[in-house]
Amino acid sequence: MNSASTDTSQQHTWRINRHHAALWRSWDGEVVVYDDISGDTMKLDIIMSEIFRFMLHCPATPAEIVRHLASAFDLKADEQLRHITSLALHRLREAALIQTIPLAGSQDAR
Amino acid sequence: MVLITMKLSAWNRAELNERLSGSGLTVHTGPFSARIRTKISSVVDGIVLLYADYPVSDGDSFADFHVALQQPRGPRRWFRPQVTFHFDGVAPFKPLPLAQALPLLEWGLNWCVGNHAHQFLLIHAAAIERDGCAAILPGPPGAGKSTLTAFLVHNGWRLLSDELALLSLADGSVTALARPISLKNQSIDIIARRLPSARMSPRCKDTAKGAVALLRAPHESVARSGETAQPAWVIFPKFRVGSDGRLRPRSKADTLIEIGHNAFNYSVHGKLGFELLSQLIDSCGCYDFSYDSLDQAFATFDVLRPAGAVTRAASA
Repeated sequence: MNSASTDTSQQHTWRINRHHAALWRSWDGEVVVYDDISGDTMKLDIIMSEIFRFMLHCPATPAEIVRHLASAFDLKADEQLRHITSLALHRLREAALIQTIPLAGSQDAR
Repeated sequence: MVLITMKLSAWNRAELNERLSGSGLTVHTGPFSARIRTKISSVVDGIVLLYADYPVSDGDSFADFHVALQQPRGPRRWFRPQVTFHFDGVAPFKPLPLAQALPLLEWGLNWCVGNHAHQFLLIHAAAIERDGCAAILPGPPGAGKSTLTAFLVHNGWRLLSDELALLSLADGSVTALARPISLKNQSIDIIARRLPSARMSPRCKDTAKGAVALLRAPHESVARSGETAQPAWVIFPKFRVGSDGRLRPRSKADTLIEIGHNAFNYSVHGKLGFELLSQLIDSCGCYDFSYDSLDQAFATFDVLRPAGAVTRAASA
């Protein structure tokens, strides 16, 4: 994922895509999602699982997610964590499990 | 026509030959019935040996699967003789050497269940039961699960299935299939040595799986094949020299994914399949298990107890 798209993602608020992520289970912090549209069953890694479960409560910006991960895993909210978060968000989006909330007056969520 | 069901052992050899070479013999194994037709003597011998305790039906009784083992009509009837398996008049597999006719019957029956029994979620796994609780034993070929299963079901456990664990779509219970256990290569000699009184078919060499022999299911397992069991453990066994025989907890999320990969018809059931596997994982202790002797494995399984109250995970 290039830096340009990383910069773009910082402007968005992300939310769970309920169409693709309606059915899931969590054991010991690991989430498994069943996508009833694609038929895929996906196990999320520990970071993606934590992001997913955090976003179940409410949509979140990347900055909010970074702060949450830092707290959850007792990490520094530094550039490395921001990069890890960005990658995780990218993978969750590629799996259609999350989507952006359009800003007022902007394009539809993608 | 009146349906008459009796044990196969009640029939004499002449009657069995007549029935198998004619309209067929319907053998009931767990929830399924298979009408079998064959004139191949090694298969008849195998059926007499392995299915003596199973109910069979006379007459034009309903059968889930209509199967036949036949020799081809051409040169391969005599020159390097072959056998074909037929299901509803169609041969779904390539011919095999005639010497492999009896294993082919078992593989064919497994194929019938695996491709048609969608009233269950079908997992490629052994399953055994004690005190109403089932242990499901998935694993790749060569992991040692059939060897382990064969030994345990002759030492306090009941055989539910050697190859196909049948999960009820309604309540997730495990239904018994309790057919003969397929042993391969070194496990044949190991089990023959450890279970000298157990009945086993002749060894069949040079199959795609190596040497194969079929172990007759314990009498009690067959008699109780109408009893279901609740899954309590999912255990991935592996024979490995030097193992300590301990059960090691494994990730439940990983276990669900692995079981899904080992389920023949997970994608057929879609959302229901996921919910059923989730329920299975919720209710079971999930473990990796390496063992280096059957006695060690027996000791580990002997102290298995079901877990306490199950905490169901949340869902969206």
